[in-house]
Amino acid sequence: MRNIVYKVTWKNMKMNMRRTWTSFFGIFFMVLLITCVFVGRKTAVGYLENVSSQIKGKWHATMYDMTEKEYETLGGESYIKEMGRSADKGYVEFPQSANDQKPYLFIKSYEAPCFDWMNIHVREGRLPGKKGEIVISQSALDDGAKISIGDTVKAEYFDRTVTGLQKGVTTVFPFQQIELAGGETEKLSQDFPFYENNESFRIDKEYTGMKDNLTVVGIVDEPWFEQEGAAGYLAFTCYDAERDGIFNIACLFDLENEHYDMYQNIREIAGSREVAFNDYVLAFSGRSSDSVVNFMVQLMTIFFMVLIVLAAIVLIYNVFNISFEERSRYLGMLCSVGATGKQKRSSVYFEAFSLFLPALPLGILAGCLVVLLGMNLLLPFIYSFMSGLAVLPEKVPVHLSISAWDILIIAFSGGLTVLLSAILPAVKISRIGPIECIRGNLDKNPGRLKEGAKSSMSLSAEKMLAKNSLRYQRRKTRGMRRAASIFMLILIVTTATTQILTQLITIRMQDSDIVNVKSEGWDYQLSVFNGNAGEEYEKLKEEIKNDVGVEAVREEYSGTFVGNVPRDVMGKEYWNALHRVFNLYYHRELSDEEFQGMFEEGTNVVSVIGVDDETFENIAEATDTDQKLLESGTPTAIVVNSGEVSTANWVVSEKEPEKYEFHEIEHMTDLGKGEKLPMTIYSPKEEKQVDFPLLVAGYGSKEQLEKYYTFHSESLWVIVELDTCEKMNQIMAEDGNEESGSMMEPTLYMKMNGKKTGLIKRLNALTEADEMHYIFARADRVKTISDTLCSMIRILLLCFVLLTSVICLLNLYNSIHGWIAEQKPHFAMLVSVGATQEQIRRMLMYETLQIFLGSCVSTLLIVTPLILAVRYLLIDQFGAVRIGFPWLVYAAAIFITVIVIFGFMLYHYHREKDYRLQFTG
Amino acid sequence: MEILRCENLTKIYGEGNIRTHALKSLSFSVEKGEFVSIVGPSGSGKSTLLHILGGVDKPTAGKVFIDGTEIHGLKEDKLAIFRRRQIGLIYQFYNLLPMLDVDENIGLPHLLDGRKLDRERLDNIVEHMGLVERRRHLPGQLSGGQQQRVSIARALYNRPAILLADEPTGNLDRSTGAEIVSLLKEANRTWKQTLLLITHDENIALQADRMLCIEDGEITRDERIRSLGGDE
Ligand SMILES: Nc1ncnc2c1ncn2[C@@H]1O[C@H](COP(=O)(O)OP(=O)(O)O)[C@@H](O)[C@H]1O
Ligand SMILES: [Mg+2]
Repeated sequence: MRNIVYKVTWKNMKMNMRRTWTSFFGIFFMVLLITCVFVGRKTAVGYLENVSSQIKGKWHATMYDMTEKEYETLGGESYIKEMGRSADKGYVEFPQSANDQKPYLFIKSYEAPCFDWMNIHVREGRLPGKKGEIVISQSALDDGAKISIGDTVKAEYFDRTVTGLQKGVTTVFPFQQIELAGGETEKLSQDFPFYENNESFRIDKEYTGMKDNLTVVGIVDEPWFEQEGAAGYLAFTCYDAERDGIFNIACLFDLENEHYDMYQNIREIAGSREVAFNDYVLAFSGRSSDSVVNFMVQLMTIFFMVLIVLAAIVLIYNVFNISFEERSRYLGMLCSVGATGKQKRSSVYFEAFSLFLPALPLGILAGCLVVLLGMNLLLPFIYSFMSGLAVLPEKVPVHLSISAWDILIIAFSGGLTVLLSAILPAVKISRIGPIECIRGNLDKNPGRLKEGAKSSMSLSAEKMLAKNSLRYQRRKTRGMRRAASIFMLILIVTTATTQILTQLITIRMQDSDIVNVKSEGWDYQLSVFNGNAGEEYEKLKEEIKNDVGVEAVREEYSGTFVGNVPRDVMGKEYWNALHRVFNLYYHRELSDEEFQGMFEEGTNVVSVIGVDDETFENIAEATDTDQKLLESGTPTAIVVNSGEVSTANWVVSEKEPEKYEFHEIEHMTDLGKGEKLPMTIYSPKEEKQVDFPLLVAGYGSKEQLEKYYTFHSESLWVIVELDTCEKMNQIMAEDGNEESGSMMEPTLYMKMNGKKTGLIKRLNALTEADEMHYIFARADRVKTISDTLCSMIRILLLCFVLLTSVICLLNLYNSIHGWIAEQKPHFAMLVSVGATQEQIRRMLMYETLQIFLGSCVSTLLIVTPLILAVRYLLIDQFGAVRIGFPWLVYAAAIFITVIVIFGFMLYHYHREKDYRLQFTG
Repeated sequence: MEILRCENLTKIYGEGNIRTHALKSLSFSVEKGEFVSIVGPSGSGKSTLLHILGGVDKPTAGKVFIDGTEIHGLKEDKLAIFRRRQIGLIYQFYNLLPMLDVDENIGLPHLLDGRKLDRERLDNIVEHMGLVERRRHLPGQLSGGQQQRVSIARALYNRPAILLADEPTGNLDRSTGAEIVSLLKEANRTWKQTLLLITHDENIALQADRMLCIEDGEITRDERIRSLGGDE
């Protein structure tokens, strides 16, 4: 090393191994965290995309029944990155089949990219390369089909149709959503089973006239969309101008660039034809068709980066500052023999970058390891969130995603952070002259000539010492203050943001989920909507009950707004809350008459939940319910007495509320136990409301019912037995047609026994095919992307808090160590004049308390506007909602910081107790 | 009356190869009001001895009795309290707290004892030490002689029975040094404070009642220069 400054710096670094290691570790950790953000985000997003692409493939959008014209239009759009065409060619006979329930192949034709996009994986051989080549699903071979690569299949394409035979009888195929009146014919999908003809329906083949000689060139893994019960195995060939010139277009979007109107544009091109967006994949690229999801993903990324860089800068800056005094001492010597300011500055940069150089590769490596480890630890969580969205085919391994470009970005931002952190100490040190360095008077302004200042000798010795010491060492304690502040800042901001975000998402979700059923112990649930609880549902229920993979089934009914009650059933509390909500809508105090005038006519609605006997008994026990009233023989009800009235769940048409207001209601009605709830329900047969009074057997509060349901409703809910539900449904059913829109709708809860059947896949396909009628999902989750996001935000932020806390704790540990170490000579002096350990400790306690209070003040001053800004931003995005100020978070963060600071301080003080030996020269 | 006695004081620093036998079974006693100078080559163990006598360092073996109390047998806190009441330590490097001003530094042992400062006494001492103009200054703003005067003022304020001074003049010019020694001597005479003073300066050493020579951790000479209570 030719440069003398570098040489001295290097020697000094070697002499202060401990400090050098701390600086190294600080820089190392910063690189590690930046790596975590970049690589972690990419790996996680890549993983989520990968997992979500297992659900429906990698495509972003698919447009059905397109023609050449649309294909060309689409090709010209800037947001399209890649397109692939596909079509269904139809069934062909498959004589090699060993399963007499599956005598056909169903041939689909794909353009090259579609195979990848649909997750078709070659198991043996290769994908078809030209016309006349096919690949066959492994499922055929699993069933024992006598076919292998090189064999040929004579193909004469046909469609299958089903025709109802009995006049006046409707034949129902619940899984295929087909309801066939006598004489009607419908084309069958690729999923339809092989059924023998019988007296009620007949299945026909309709040849399309196309013929092919197909050669098997490969076997593919069973595609995720292949149904076990279908009559044909899936097979794929190359796409070539298909029959009628009609095909489907799958495409990938150019996600690197923003295209605000692409969803709209695609829908316009498709017109009335079906378009599907693969939200599972799109959501995790931050480009879901749901703008709220996009906003969240974007917000989180920025949020993470800012906080990490901030924490890193404060840490490294502090590390340099701690060694400031010592460095200034040897640099002062150098200075006295003629080193220039630039040379002194270069010493700081030299130290920073000679540590950064080895820290960079090690940090990146460790970061990658942390990402891998973290992802693998989080895998079960992520996986269970994802399966809340859909039933996943298989576990997906994590692949680290890192490119040369990433490394460059990490190196650059790491270097920049180090530079930023080193600039200030470097400039400061170059300004300090030799005398100040040698004398140890590093503060330009060492406090005071105490003239005029009040002497602190009236205080106790400890307080006096603490006060003066703080004043004297303001610069030295600043690092500690900063470390404590950034720690609190990160704790508060992250926790508060998590709280606000999840709260907002939950509030948003309440619109659709007024009542949530807690369904512990059940695996899946199938909800039926839109009055579909007719014959089709009954058949489906039978099939589910009889399935060998199902251990138990529970049925529950619910009907929103099925009944009506006179207005005066609702209690005083309810009306008062509503009055205030209306005041907000009318922007003035409505008089009682005026308010009541708005409700003169009409009734209030009642919603009903019907549960089986056992559940009803349990609920009766958990709530304030009179057992004798339950045995009275008349239909009884347990009334849910909790409710919520807010400007969000009460809307007055064409009026904007002054602000958001939320009222929690404890007594929705003032009716007593044993009184009749004078409910009426609508009978289509009689075309009028008929009385259906319910005996009020008891009341349940939100808390009492917590185990079973969560309620967020402005209307009255009652819980009844299934018998009562049936009676109500009989009244509400339309004549001759039992599927009426106002009936109560069932949900089936299923417990599986682990035996593998195709049931889950079939039920899943049912929801996919027709989301309006069925929703099938795992029972332990509410199945929205928003909810998944909520849980992911919580976990990610938790990880984030943990990781950045490590930096902050390191920072605090370091700063406190530096602070105590610098005071060692003072302790020695104090001991020599007879201070006891207890007195020194007490002095340090006072000082620490002061430092802590100081950092509290600055944290609050920084954090509060920040939180208010985040709140404002989010409220602006989500509309008027009331978000509580996170006092509790503040308190918790302050508490944790106090413990940590005092803990570290006492730890370091006790470790430095050998200071007695130190005070000679 | 004997105020200080040490028996078989031994101090060993370090272990193995770097083992230093700083004190080798040293014994002597000092009468109340005596002024003892300690001389010896550098590294002979003088400072070590003083630290052990002052109770800021522990001997490897041996005992120190001050006013009949075996000080190293005291609990740490008891020893600290004993020290602030009975012992005044003065070092070559001024041993002042840089963040306290002159008054505060002087009053520190007293304040640590939880007692109120006696204003009048403080004023007297400050005036006597010639520090009136500097009362609200920090040590960093004082000259070496001034700093040393502050640490003597501190040692005197509480009127401890024993003053232990480790080369208090080592760092000062001759006249300033002489001034410091005369201040110490004055305290010794006026308040009957026992004074143990390490010095390299023969002139100063010869002003004492008694001179101890230490070489290589052992007392090689113990010479009475003048009888106790006698005039110069
Ligand atoms: N903290 C210490 N650790 C190890 N050796 C020490 C320590 N302090 C002093 N010594 C050694 O003890 C011997 C006596 O030191 P000291 O009492 O300072 O001598 P003096 O004050 O007479 O110059 C010396 O050899 C010195 O190197
Ligand atoms: Mg010495």
